[in-house]
Amino acid sequence: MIVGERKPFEEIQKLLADSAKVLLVGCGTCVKVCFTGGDKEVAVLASQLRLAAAKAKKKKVLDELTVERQCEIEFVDEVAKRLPGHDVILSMACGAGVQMLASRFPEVPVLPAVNTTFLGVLERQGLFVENCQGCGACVLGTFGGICPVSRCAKSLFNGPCGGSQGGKCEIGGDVPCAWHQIIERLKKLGRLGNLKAPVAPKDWRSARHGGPRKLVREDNIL
Amino acid sequence: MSAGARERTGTMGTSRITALCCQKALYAGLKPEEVSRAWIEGVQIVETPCSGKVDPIYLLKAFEKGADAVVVLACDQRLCATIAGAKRIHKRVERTQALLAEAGIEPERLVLRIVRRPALRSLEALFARIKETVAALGPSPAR
Amino acid sequence: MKNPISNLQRVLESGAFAVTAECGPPRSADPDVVVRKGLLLKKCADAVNVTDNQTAIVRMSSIAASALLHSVGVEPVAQMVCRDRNRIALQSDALGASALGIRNLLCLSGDHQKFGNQAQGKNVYDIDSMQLLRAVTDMAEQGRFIGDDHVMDAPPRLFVGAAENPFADPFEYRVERLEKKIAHGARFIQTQCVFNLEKFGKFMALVRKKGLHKKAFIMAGVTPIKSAGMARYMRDKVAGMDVPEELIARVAKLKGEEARAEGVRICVETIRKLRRMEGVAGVHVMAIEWEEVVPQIVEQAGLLPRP
Repeated sequence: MIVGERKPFEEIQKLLADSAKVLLVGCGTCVKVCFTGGDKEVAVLASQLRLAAAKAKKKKVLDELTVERQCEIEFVDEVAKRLPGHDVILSMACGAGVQMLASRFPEVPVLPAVNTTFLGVLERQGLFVENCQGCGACVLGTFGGICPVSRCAKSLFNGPCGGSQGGKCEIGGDVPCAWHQIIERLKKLGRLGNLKAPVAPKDWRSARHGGPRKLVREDNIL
Repeated sequence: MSAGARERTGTMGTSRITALCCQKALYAGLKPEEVSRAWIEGVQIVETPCSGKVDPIYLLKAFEKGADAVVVLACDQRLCATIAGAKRIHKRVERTQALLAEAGIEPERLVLRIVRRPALRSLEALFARIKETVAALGPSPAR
Repeated sequence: MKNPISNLQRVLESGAFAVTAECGPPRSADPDVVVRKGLLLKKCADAVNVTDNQTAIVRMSSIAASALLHSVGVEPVAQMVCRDRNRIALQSDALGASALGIRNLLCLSGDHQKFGNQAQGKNVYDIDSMQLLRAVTDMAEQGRFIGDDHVMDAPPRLFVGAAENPFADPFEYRVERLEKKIAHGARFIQTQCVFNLEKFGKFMALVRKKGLHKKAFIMAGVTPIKSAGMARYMRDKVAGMDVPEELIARVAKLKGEEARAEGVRICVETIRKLRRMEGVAGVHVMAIEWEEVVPQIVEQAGLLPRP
């Protein structure tokens, strides 16, 4: 899923400083799963903004709407009927969703309430971790299902570097050394030999370095 | 509020307190003839089937509706009949206190009290202390 | 056997115990600092490493500082990290280094930028140190760039090395990785500084078992301790360092000049023990911001004059 965190409250207030009628739009998919921008989070943020407005003796209309996903136009279209009467949209979706809303409703500013951070998994209760960078050339098969691009701080293909200690990465913060994990995993699989073959420099053209990417499925187009 | 919560309003004093009370916290251990409706002057009591039912949004909404303070009465987590409800409430209250602080409302206005069952017997004393705290804080800035 | 292209290569291939030292470029544009350090080390080292924005703190570039050393007759080992430059820049700098007369290149991953004064910057890591080794080796030996058939008419003339840390984890894999670096073209290896001789001995035993000491020249790193505080700092704050308690205890009771003298003594003892270890071809003395003490250490270790 895509993971993000709600922006600091002060920053959101600043974004909305000149807006009197705000439509908060939540997303029921990734950001709901990471407790950042789903219907519940929309309700909480709207409530906080109302309390803050009451304290400041300011009049602010804060309406709430959550759609299934903001990254698909058919769900985004649903916002149209609720939009009239609002001068700004505050989206709690990931950056992709915010942009889709903005392109669908160019007549109002669409502001982000969330800082989108990474692609990852819910490793255990309350812990989301990054594990994919969308490099476009997946080599998880070679590395025992552990991604060196996203999980090694230096994206090494021939790690570990000299800073790996006690299974942890030199950057600290309890980040595991991905290469330590790769070696342990391959040992368990009896495939440590995977690491013997030279790895050619990565072709980053399929990654973001080659420019914004797209996928076209002609077979889906009528 | 969900269907599981029932509201009962006492006479409003100068300060408004909303209390979300776990029903078991209030009544567990009482004989049928000892049960009476929980009521404290100046406190709007909302009974919930478990403190675990209480989501941050209910607490924030209570402040939106004009509460000067919001109290959550919960059982000791070792006694929770729904296993983890009374365990969750601690972190949810902490989180809501942080959300209140962000919005400029003093987090001390939200209070979690772990009570010995049945709390019905000690409500007066319990709320007397809370009312003192609230009086000191004054009306909610969001009123 | 081709003629050695650098003094360091010449000394190593002659079988003599080699000595390299280290020079950290300044956090300024002052060339005199580099020249001063270089001249201090000229007589006591076969070549002098020039670090590349070490710990991700901006310093004068390694290639520039290396060229300055070369201009005053001090042979540099230019260090090149993968953190700050992509493959275009790295290959370009290898050409430039050679053109400026630099003949030794050490290929490294580089400390993560969070340690330095530009923690907000992006890092690059387009290729890693292993791939850089292969790239520079292919440039030098075949005149080719990465993924390009074009053969250049004046390939860089470089003696290529790498680093390895016997004290990082996982321990057993370190020798595998060393083997890989040699397979990717590393002709000499400099290790992280050795304080734990027992562990280093185990590492060298594994190295000898695979015959790696015959395929590349292994130089052991050493660092003189200035104080117990410094020793503890290295033990606790620097990733991949193994500083035994007995060593800290030796300096713990001492202060100032006495502590430093003991630190030098420990360093000299370590070098003597390393000389007796089979497979150790030389020593790399890293006296961080204490370059003045290196001539004394090399002399007391019986390694002067240099061949």
